[in-house]
Amino acid sequence: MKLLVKLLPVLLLALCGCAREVSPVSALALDKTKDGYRLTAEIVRQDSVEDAAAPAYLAVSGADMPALLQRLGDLLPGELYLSHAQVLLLGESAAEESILPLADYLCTDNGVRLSLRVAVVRGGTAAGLLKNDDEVYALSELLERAAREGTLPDMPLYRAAEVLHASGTAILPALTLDEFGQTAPAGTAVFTNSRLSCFLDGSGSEGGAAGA
Amino acid sequence: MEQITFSTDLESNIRLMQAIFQGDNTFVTRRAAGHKGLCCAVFFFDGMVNNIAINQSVIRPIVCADCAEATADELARTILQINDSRVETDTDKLFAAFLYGDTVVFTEGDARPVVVNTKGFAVRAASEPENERVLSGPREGFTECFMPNLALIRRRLNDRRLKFTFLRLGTRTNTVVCLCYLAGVCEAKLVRHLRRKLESLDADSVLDANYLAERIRDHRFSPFPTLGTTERPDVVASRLVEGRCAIVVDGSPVVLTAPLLFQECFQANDDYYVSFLQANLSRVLRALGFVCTITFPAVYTALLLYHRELVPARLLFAISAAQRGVPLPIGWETLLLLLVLEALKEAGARTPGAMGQTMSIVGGLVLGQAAVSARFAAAPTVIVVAIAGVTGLMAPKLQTASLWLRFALLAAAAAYGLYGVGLGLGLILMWLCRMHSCSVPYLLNLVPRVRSEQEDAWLRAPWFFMRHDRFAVKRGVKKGGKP
Repeated sequence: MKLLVKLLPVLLLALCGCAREVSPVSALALDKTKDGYRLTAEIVRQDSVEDAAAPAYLAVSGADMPALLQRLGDLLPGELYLSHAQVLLLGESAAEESILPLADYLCTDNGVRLSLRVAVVRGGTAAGLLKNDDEVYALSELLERAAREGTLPDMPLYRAAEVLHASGTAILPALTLDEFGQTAPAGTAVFTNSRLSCFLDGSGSEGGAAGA
Repeated sequence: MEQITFSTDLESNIRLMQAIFQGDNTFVTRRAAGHKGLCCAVFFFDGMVNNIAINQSVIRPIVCADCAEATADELARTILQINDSRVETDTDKLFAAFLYGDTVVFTEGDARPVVVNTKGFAVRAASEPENERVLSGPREGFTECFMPNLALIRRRLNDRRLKFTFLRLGTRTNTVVCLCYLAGVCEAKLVRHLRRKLESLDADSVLDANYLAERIRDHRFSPFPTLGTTERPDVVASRLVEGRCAIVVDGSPVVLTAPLLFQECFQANDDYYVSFLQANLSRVLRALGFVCTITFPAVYTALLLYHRELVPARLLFAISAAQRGVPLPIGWETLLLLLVLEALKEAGARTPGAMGQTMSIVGGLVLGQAAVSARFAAAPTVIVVAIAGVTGLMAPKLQTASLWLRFALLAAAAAYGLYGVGLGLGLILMWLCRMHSCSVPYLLNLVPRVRSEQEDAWLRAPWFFMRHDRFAVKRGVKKGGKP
């Protein structure tokens, strides 16, 4: 009887364990717009066990990352689930702003993995490149393979945040759509004072920070 | 019980016995008179006795007796032609023997009855126990008959140090209970401990070994067994050799052995009859199976409720897809499926023979598939519960523990996630650490200490390495102490 009384709180708490259905996000793309930012999320859809996971895209606009994620969560039927997000794409214009607040925010969000890979999209929008592949996790596999082969720098989010805090200078992998419409590595994006400065293959960025 | 006094008058003794057993139609009174005038009365219960023994060893010698009168001593010593007859003056012992199938004989002129061993009730033939089948090795099992059970043990242990101490327990059933041990191998302290527990027992009926087990075991409320049970004489013999005690209960094919250590719950009879390589693999699998059966549903629930980031992405997507449309939260779904599993096991166990198999197939396959199709349950949850169910059968001695710990850990997982599971496992380990079986620590030999104690603990050493004094209870006994 005493044992039952002791176990009662556990059993009562067990009732609280009712999780919402999740809407897992596999990748994010951030672009600059006139009045703020536009966040595009690649949501994983799998309707039955037999089906393959397929991407679906949702986009929201807002002033900063917390507002964008809040709006994205409101749109989704299930819980916004970022733990399995593996790639964050930054459009050139978005990268020309200071990315340090963004990196800090994502690093402190316990729903986001520190190993999230960040890449800059060269020429074109991040959303466009994100939607280019029909396969879930194609981008993260590409980045991982390129990092393993040494064609792109291996720079997960936490390391980028660390070096930006230390010296304000960091390098991130760059991606682009090649002439065949395929996603391809496009050198290295160099950040100075937490802003996109240039690409390491010699061409400067189109924004005003190119000479910085 | 009122005091019963017999007289020297045979007729009044007959009337007294008939009065005592009035209304019992199996009670038989047989007057026997010798050709020289000897008058006797023979009492027995129909169905409990060997009729041939009564006719040839009791009635015929009386009828053929060459004397006009005889005392009870003369009757027991010289007239009755049977191996076991005695004059009994203690009425309690007299009626205990009489009710157990012995025959009572009164003679004219003597108030003392003679008790003749004529037990002859029908017994089940010794067969292999259903619950302890082996692939190879002896296939004999105990039956409900007391003396043949003791004979099965003695036949395997031809050692004069083997002792059988009888006690009678249960004020109503007056059941014979036997404490068996190997004197000099088993610690005297252990024998005294068990004997004291048995003698201090206050029970009105003892109809099975479990009637005793629940009363005399340590940690009565623990789901972990602290007394061993077996239906096999070879197992009892091996435990006696290791320095343990056995308790045989009349009317029960189950024999209790004490003390019991935790690691013994992962040992099986087959381990000793097959190669040590195979036996050790089986033991490791059983231990893993136990861990799996208590933690699998809990870890699954905790991961999906609180720690989804630990689940590989593609597996999580598949599980999420399967969960879509299921009306219950994952914790409740797992709990209900575990209850359904227990219900199916119970129904299968209570349903006779082939119908039980049909029930298992219908329950396991058809019902499971239908539940998934109808979105009552998600397929991954059914798989997890099925794995927990199957692995739970690998250590049958821990089935009660598996059942309760599975639910407790599931509740902890639903409340606190993996932290709850870790906390629960820690508490279970602490609980096991403080448990004893007959004053022997339950987790004895959990860590290697003495080689001889490790030879048959978590793993079994090959027979050619194994020494006979490998059990810690008799650590004080010198090696090679033959009688």
